[in-house]
Amino acid sequence: MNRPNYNQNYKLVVVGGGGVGKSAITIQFIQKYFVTDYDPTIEDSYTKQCVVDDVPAKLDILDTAGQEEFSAMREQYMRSGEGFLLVFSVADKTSFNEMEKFHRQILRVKDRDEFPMLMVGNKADLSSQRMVSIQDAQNMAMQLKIPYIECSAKAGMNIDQSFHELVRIVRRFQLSERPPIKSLPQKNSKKCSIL
Amino acid sequence: MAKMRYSDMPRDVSIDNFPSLNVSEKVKSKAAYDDNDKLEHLVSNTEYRKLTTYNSLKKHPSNLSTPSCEQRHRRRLSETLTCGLARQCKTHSLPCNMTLKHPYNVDEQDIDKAKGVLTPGILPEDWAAQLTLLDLNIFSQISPEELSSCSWNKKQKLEVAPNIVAFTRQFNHVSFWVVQEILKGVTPKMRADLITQFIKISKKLYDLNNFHSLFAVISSLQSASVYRLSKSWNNVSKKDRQSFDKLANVFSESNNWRNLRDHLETLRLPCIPYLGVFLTDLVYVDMAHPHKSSGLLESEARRLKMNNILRVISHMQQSRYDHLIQFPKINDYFNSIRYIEELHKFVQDDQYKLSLKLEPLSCQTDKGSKESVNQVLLDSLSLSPAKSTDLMRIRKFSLCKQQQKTNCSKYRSASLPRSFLKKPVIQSAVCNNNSLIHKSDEGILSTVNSRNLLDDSLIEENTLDLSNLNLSPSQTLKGAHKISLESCLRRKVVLKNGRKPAVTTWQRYWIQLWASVLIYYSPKSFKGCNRNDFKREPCKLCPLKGCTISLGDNPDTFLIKHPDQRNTYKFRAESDNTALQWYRRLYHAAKLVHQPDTKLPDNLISFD
Repeated sequence: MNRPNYNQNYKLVVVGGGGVGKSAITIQFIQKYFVTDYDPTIEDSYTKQCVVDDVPAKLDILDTAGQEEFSAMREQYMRSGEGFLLVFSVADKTSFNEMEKFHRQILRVKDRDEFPMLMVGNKADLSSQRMVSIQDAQNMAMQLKIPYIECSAKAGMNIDQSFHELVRIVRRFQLSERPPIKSLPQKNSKKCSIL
Repeated sequence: MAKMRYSDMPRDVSIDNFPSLNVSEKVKSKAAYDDNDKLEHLVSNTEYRKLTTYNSLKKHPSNLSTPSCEQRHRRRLSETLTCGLARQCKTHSLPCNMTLKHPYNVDEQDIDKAKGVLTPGILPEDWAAQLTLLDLNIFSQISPEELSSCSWNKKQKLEVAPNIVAFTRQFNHVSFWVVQEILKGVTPKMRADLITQFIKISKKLYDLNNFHSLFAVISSLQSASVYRLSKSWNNVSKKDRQSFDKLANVFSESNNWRNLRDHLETLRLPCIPYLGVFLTDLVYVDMAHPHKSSGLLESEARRLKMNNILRVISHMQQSRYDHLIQFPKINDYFNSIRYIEELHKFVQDDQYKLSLKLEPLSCQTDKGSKESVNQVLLDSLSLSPAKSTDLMRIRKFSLCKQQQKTNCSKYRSASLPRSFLKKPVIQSAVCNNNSLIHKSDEGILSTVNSRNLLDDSLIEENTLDLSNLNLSPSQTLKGAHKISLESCLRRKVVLKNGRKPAVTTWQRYWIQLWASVLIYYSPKSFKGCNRNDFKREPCKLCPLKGCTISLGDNPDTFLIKHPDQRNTYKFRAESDNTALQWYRRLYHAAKLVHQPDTKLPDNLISFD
């Protein structure tokens, strides 16, 4: 239905300041149940197979949690990403203010006006410590022209949804960028039969 | 004078005004060097290096860490200098090219700030060695507690993990310096020389197993500001670019940094790792096995996994680089480069702006236009991006992306001519093409694209009625993919950049005249003149704007002269007839582009 021959490997990059819970989101998504067995050093510790909109997808997640201070290497790893989760903590205003910087940096590295990104407000469960209102976050998302979602790694809320939504955004983008060549003759043949 | 030039650079304004907040050790050691300065001025670089070798051999590497020992070492050095110098200085011949190439400040052997990394006499290995010594100094001081605290990116990082912070800053500092140096190059050629020099330094860093600085240099070469400088990269030799690709591949983040991890495992000391990967691992262990807030007891699994990582790091901390020669002048030079971590993001912005200034996005200047046209065309031919490093950016300018893409697939399929003579298809194709012209402001781009799909004439109206044309089907078909002539040709350089090359050979290409652009396809094998003997993907594109076409001495040759680039090429066709045909087509194509301002006819110009 949705072009099964389409490349279904996605390189997703999680960006955001230190302490926003990037690693929590990633680990929550990758290893939901067996966290204690988790080994961060093995090859496939950051890959996950999943099905998004009935189409299987293999997600390669790059999370540089802990390397935030190596700001000079950020642009290099951004270059390979096909979709980006821009994570901030709703309990940390500074991390929210950094969103624009990350957004700009991604566009710069990609040399694009737009690129698949999803802004994620983590720690949504900490309602008492909330420093960034939903309204503010949505305004920012609108300004950056990217969608926004709130999640909580701790409560396991909206984690899968965030990644799946990003996959959808990437798919839409890739479809508009390079329509699969094979689909063209199909369309034509359909048209002919109608005529 | 050199300093003047350095400070004239606009990018420095924002950084130079701030005092350095850099690692205090460096400042201290700098002070220690100062009293030696006068002495050093007397000595040539060679002498000096010999003495320093002598000294660093005597010295225990652990001394590096403590400033007092450092000073002691310096004092010892200065004693040696005063005793031995006066005599040694003159008796020794000065074999190194450094003194020869260094005409202006032999007496003051500082690193010329204007020349920076290209300062004559200072070899890539000297830079690599110095970086390694600087890195080791900080790296060896990182304590296990700093690592297990997992708070090097938290607010209290300076108190809890000062050495990790210093180590990351050193990384960013080096990286900043590399980008800054490269952007100092005024011309693409100069920047290419700088890039090459850094690739050489990278190789030396790799040999020294210093992955910390190596990654810092590699990241800066891949930073947005440097990576996008395609004109500069084009001037870097293929060999060096390949080395760069290889080195960059070491730091590929794919498969959880597999390459880097594997490589580190096989290594023997000494080695300075890229700490970042370990830091991520630690963060993940911390996340998977959190500290129990209630009990003080650490979970067994956490302890075990943390220790595994800490053990590896502490093993590497035993690295010694005793054989490396201290080069205080490079040290001083590094310290003199002011870098403030807190301002890094502004600095990056500044660097990017400068990069844009050096090689603008839309190459509106005439010089740059050749390339931009190439990329637009390559892009619209929907070729693999491997051909051009940053194809992506051009997409920005192809405004009707989707439509254009559909067009491309048509061009592709058009090489196997079919389903063409449907009028609506042509019309839409023309429309799309035209809308692209109207939206784009680039001179050349529009001249290229405002050619009709059918026979290279210029279009004024959006629509085109096929019935107006008196073209034979074959012509229409040819026009469909805009190729008005194609054949195998041999090409030879007559003039390159206004100079006659020493050696020239005939190169075989499949060449298509596509609108007013020549498209070259490189051969697959040594023989053969059919289309099948050449690669499917073009290797270069050459707009004919402003070119002068003339017939050669032999009847089967003709010449194309690029006045702007002062390049002239000679072409040889299979037969005299083909050559003449090419000549006529090219002549018209070039002439048409010559006069884009003149009022154009509504209809088309036939060439035959």
